[in-house]
Formats: sequence, structure tokens, C-alpha cells
Amino acid sequence: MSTDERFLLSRRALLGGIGVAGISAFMPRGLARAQETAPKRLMVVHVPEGMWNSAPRPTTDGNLGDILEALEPHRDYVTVLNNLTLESRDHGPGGDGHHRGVSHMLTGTEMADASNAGGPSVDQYIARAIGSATPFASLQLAVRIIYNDTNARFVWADARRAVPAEQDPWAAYDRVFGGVMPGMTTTPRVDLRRSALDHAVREIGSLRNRLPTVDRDRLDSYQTSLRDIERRLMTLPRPEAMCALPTLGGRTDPRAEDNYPAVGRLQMDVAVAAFRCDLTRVISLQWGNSNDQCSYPWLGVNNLGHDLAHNNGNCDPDGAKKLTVFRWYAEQFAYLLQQLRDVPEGEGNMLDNTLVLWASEFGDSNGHGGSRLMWVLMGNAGGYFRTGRVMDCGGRSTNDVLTSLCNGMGLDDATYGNPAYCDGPLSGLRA
Amino acid sequence: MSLQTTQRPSALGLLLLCACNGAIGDPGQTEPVDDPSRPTDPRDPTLRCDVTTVGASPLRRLTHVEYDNAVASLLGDTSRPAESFVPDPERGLFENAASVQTVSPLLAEQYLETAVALAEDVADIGALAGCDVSDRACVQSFVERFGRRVYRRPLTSDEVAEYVAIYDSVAAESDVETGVRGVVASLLASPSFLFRPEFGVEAGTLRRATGYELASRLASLLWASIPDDELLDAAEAGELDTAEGVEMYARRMLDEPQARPAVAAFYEQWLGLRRIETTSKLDTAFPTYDEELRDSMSEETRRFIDHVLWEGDGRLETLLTADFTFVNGPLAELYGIDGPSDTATFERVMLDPSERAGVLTQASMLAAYARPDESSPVKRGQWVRVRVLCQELPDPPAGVPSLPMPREGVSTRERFAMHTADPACSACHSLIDGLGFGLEAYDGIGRFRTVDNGVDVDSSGEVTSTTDIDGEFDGGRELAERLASSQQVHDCAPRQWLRYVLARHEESEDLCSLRNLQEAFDASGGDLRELVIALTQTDAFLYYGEAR
Repeated sequence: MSTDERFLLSRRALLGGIGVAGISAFMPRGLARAQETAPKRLMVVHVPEGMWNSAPRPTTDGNLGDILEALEPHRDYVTVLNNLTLESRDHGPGGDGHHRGVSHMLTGTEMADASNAGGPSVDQYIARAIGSATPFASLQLAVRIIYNDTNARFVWADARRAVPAEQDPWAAYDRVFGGVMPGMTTTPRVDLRRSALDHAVREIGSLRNRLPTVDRDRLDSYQTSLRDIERRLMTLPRPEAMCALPTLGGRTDPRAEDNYPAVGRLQMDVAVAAFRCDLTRVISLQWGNSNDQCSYPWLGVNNLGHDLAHNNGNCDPDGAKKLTVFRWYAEQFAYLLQQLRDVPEGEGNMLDNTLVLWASEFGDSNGHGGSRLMWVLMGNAGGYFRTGRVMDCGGRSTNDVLTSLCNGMGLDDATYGNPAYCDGPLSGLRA
Repeated sequence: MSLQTTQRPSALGLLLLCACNGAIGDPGQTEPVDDPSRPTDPRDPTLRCDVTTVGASPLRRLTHVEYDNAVASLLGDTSRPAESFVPDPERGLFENAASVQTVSPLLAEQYLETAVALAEDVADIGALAGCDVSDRACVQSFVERFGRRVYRRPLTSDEVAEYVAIYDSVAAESDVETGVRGVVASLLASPSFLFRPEFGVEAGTLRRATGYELASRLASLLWASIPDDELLDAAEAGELDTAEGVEMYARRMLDEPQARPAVAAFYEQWLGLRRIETTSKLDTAFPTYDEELRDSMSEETRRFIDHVLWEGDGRLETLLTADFTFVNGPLAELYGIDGPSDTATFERVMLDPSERAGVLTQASMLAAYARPDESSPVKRGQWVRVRVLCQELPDPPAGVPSLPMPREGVSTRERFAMHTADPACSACHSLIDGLGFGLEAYDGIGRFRTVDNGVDVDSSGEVTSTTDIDGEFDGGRELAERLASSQQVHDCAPRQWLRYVLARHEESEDLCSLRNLQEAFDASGGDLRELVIALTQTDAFLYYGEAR
């Protein structure tokens, strides 16, 4: 039996009676896993535009306040990191606050040029270390990206190598779970994919050496990506994973603004299921552009997030609309956390072994500034972090948080990003 | 604030508004730094062009549009699968910048899955092969013929053998037809299809692009696709080995219908017209601006460009100063003129020439380069400076303070002027705002106005830091006519075309190609159709330069 077949049979056996997309099914687990053997997972989520400085933030006495009220039921899993500084942002080349903010947010270092981040984002850095255990080293999901320039890109495999996200949850579903669906396992489709892949990899091998060195990186990027697919075809998910496929329902237009909440929810469903089936351990989710082009009609807001951020045309004189939008995002995180908590794992649930980072590129929305950022860390990475509090980080660099993320995920880095903007892991965060 | 232009005043035509503080640089780019002792301006009399020089020909990947056109041409499949590919990153003005044409994991997967899906969707694989696919000789001839179109060159015998081997192994597991599908899928996922590897052929001390490579370059430029059999036959027969042959085929190709969208795509990117498609406005400021109006604006400019290029005189001056345009009902209302009453009908109309002139004063431009609630002298000024004058501006610094809130009795112009009064800001803004202020007679959706926030509109502006059109002006028409009369602007169009064709910024080795192109454009009287032909006659187009 070839490796492929073993993979497919195993996944098919794993998923037993699943018929078609849209039917949710559970597989009984063989052995309960002990908590310490459960894998750690990371999900980084970008919410655009930050929050007005004038809006009250959660306070260090543990009051989550208006803006994070929705997280109240999950407060024991939540660590609010107030008063961070995106220090690297004001150094090096780059465009306006949006472009810089997003490119720097998780890379923590100067951009390579105005269109490219200068290093890997922390999720990719971590995926490089832990991603080989799963079919997908990482997954990138997004909701309704309007501009495909730098302000849509916060995930970078490395300097100059953006990792774009899938914006269509139905396509994401097919991609992530397609291989485990019956009807796709024995058809010629698998053979053709395999032949085409093998051939392309071989041809790149003979072509690349004939090309000038500076041109090879583009060809290599194709090769690397194909190898990634190849590896996935041969990677067995852990057989004891408790897998359940999400129910997506009828297809709608993922680009339509009215579908923004539904698409976001489906992307979270795909993410949770991908974690649950152990198809990946690192996921990113991006809500719109940094220059927020959603007008939140379902909240009765009807102004673009970017206009709210600046109160353009006095469209939001007292910040009520901005607050409504921010609170809505908090609700989305509450939904995500609940989905993770609903999956039992070891003595606890999946959130116990997961880290979710809610990051934004701005502190004050209006000034589009890189100081006074509020990020939220959820989950404790298998007990690594002491959660359930609000911290005043006193202006510490976001790179310190990124370092803590690495440490929480089992990497022993002393700094992250450009060390000039990093003092090491954030003190007081650990359990 | 004076503009730093390099040591040589004549070099002003070339970019470099640089940090607005005297330092030369090009902050948005990372192209190789030119030897400072060499001229940087193609018009520089010290630039010697008696020896051919060639800049790098970077490895190109099919754009998504080219991919869709190619599979339509190869398989008759018009489903345009690449429209759902992960979008290519935007860099600079053009969508084809070679340096960012990497293949992300997601795109690789889309390439692979689409290659397989397209192969499986071929209704009659026997008909595609044109012979009995159970016969290996048939399959071999299919690989040779179909493969030549996919690779845009004949396959080597080893390559043919590899594809026949794929047929053999897939057919052994399934059936002969599936075997052929395996060949098609493998061809479509191959790097030789997705990329456009070039090697050139020795020509003295340089390398000329081969006939097949020129066929690919022509098809990409003029059709946004791959060559057809006729063009490949011409390459095979050596008809593309001379500049005359290339010109003859370029003219023939430019007459084909698929040239129209391909050439229009350049103008849409150069002039940033697609921006309107993602432009939103505040309801409170512009209640009439809805999807219908937005799409109408976009359609107006498309029709206008299409008309100028193919039905009209094809001249740059007309693009910039025409007093006609195309409107439907909503646009007639916006422009305050008589026109069709419905949305679907577009009619050619004359506009009040004192109010409007060419593409610069069309609603799509004025609305896209504006703020959600008002006009934007900054965005409009930047548009003129970067796109039409070919001068680069540095990125705005981080932490720009907000604009003062609008209030009755204070014009947009006055608020912007306050905003950039700080010397740290005005250094750059003096290069931008003087142009944009001249367009203040158009509000945030391009309506003509004489009053703004209760104040009489002041649409006086000033052109600065150009080679030949500095001076004060008043209003959109005067600005447009000034631009149309400028040699700097007439030199800019060829420069932008060259960047588009090369998929990179120009280098010093390209300056003679650029000079020849600019001179050819002048000689044609500013004919934009001839400019495309002239492009194919430049050394930059005809030669291959190894990327360093």
C-alpha cells in the first residue's frame, strides 16, 4: 500500500460515516489523551483599526468594561494586555500607519521595503517549528479583503514572502477537509494531482539551475509550496484526534458585506474543526483590511470602519458606533472561545491547550498610533500562562508579547523580531 | 523648499522627488541602485546610445488574467478559474511586478487543483487530442502539438517522453482517456506554463530574445495571453528574428479583438481607474452615491478610453483634454447635462469645456481620489505627480496628525492648508497640494461646484518642479491642458508603458530604449496606438538581459 492510500484510508476510517459536506459527524475517540500530551495550538486574529483613546479600557482590577463585556463568560481564560507599544513600526521604510502597522504587528521588525515585511510573522515562525506534525503547517483565513496591498497582509513566511489567506469558507472547507471526504479518495483525481505535482517538482528542479540566481526565489516558492502539499498528502493525522466537520450550509457570496458576520463565523468553524481534527496547529484569521472597508450594516452602523476610526465627517461624534463595532468583535471572540471550550480534551477542553491572540495594529484609532495598544490573549497554552486578568504593560513592546507567545508554544527564544525593540518575554504573564 | 532632482537639472523628468529634503532615493522601491556617474534622464544629451544596452529580463509568472485567457485559448474553457485565485499582491502602479510573483502555498494549491479540474472538465478528450488516444503515437503527437502551445516553444524530446510516461502510468491505473487528462493536468501545473522562463540567444556580446520568447512577449503585451499556433509558426519560421517581423506581427495582433481589453488594462492600472470599484462614500455626505452610480462612473471611463484608443484619434492629448464623454442617466444628472434617462444606456455627450477636460475631470477619478466625505487635494495632487508626471513621492511619515474637523465657513482647501502648514509637512505637500487645489471645483464624487462649505471655491493652483509647465493655473481644464502640452507628460506615458512591459522599474541600461520610445512617441504626434507598436521595437523588448 502506498503512503497516499494509507493516508486516505486512515482518514476515511477516521471519519467513518461522513457523507457529504454539510453533515456534521463525530468520531469516537479511542483513548483519552492526557492533558500534557495534547498539542498546543495558536490562533492569531487581526481586528482592524484599534479603539479610540477616549473609550474606557478594561482596568487592572479585572473589570473588562463595556468594550470586552462579551468576554465576561470566558474571563478566566482572558488576559488583557493594555498599554503596549508597536515599537518597530516607526522605524524603517513603509507607507502610512495602516501599511506599517499590519506589516510590523506580528513581525516586529523593519520592513524590507514599502511593500514587504522584513521578517516572518510570529505565527509562521512558530509554524516552522511545530508545523511538521500536521498535514497543514498553518492555515490562513480571512474575511472580506478589499485592498490587496500591504494593509491586507499581516502573515509573512519570511521577509518579502507574504502568506495570503483564503477568504471563502467553502473553498477553505474543501481544501482542508477535502481529502477526508469519500468520493474523493478513489477517483482518478488523486492520481492526476499526484502526477501533476510530481512532474512540476521535477521540472522546477531542472529549470531552476538554468535561471539567474535572483529569479530562482519565485520558482523556489512554487517548489516549496508543492512540497508542502506533497507532505500533506503523506502526513497522517493523529488517529486519536476527535474529529468533527463543520456544517457550512448553503453557499453565499463571501465578498458581500451583508455576509461578513456569517462568513466570519464559518471561518471560525473551519478553524476550530481543523484544530480538532489536528489538521493544523497554527491558524490566522484576518477580519477585513487594516483600512477597514466594512460598514457593519447588520449593527445599524452604516459607516465604514475606517471612517469611524477617524470620525470622518463627524459620522460618529460620541464614538457610539465605534463602540458598537468593537463590542461586536468581542462577541466574535466569545463565540470562538466557546467553540474551543466545547471540545473536551484531556481533563479539560481544547481552549486549555490553545492560545488565541487578538491583535490590532493601532492603539488610538483616530491617530492611527502605535502606542497604547490593547491586545488580548485568550487561553493559556496548556497552563503556561496565568490568565484571567487585566495587565497594564506600561508601554512594553509588542515584541515582548510575541516572545512570550513563542515561549508559550514551546520555543525558547529570548527575543522576537528586531531585538532593538524587545526586552524579552513579558514579565508577569507566566503561571 | 526646492526639489532635489539629482545633480543635473535636465534629469528632472526622472522621478526622485525624494524625501523632499534633498536626499536622493526611491523609498518605495528596491531596484538596483544605478551607477551615479551615469545619466539618469533619457533626454540627457550626454547619454550615449550608440551601443546597445539591455536591463534585466526578470522571470515572469502569468498574471491571473493571462492564466484565464490562456486556458480559454488552449481548452476553450471560459470559466475564468483564476478569478477565484488568491489575488496577486499590489505593488507600484502595475499588477504584474515580477519581483512579487511568488507562488504562495494557497496559490500553488489553486494551480494544482485547477490544472486537474480543467483536465477533468475537458468534455471530449479524444477530440482535443484529435486522434485515437489508445495509440501511443497519437498521444506523442498530441504532447508535441498541445505542449508547444502550453510551453510557448517546442518541447524537447526528453520533455515529450516525460509526458508520454505520465500518460502510460496513469493509463495503466485507469484508462487511456484518463491518461491523456493526466498529461493535460501535468502540463497546466508545470512551471514552464505558469512561468515564462527566458534564456535568449547569443547576438554578439548580448543576448537577443528568441523568436518563441518574442512570441510570448507579444502575446502577453497585446493579448494578455499566450501565443496562438500562427504566432508560434512565425517564430519557428524565423519571422520574429527581425525587428521588422516583430512589428508586422504586433500590428496584426493589435487589430485582433483581444488586444482591446489587454491594452485597456494598462491604462486602467496606470491611471488607477480600478480604484473606483472599491471606493465608498459616507451616506451623510453623498447620499446619491450608490453602487449604481459607482459602476456607472467606472463604465464611463472604460468606454471613454476604449473610444479614444480604438475609435478616436488615439492621442494622449485627447485622453487628457477631451470635451466629450459617455454618460448614462445617473451620470447625466451628476454632470448636470441632458442625456439618457436610464442606467443601461450610455451616450456620447459633450461636456461644458469650461468645467471638464479629459480623464482627469471624470467622476470616476475625482471620486476615487477623494475622501469618503469630501474632496482630497492631496490624493488628487499625488495622482497627477506620480502617475502623469512620473515623479515619485516618498511615503508619508508614520503618525500623521488628523485633518481638522470640517466646519461651516471653512473650505476644504483651507483645512488642508492648515493641516500641512507645519514646515515638516509642507516640504512634500508643496509638491502635491498646488496640483490638487486646482481641482477643488469638484466635490468628493466629482460634481462641479462653486461653493464649498459656504465658501466660494478657489480652484487656483500651481504646477511646480516640472521641466516645462511650471506656473499658476485655475481649474481642471487649465491643469489638463497644461499637462497635455507638457513634454514631461509626453515622456511619462512611454516610461510607464516600459515599466509595464518590463514588469519592473527602469534601470540605467533601459534609458536608450526609453529615449527611442519617447522619440517614436513624439514622432507619431502622441499616438497611443503607435506607442504600443514602438514598444515592440525597443532593445528592451527585443533583447534578453540576465537578471543580476
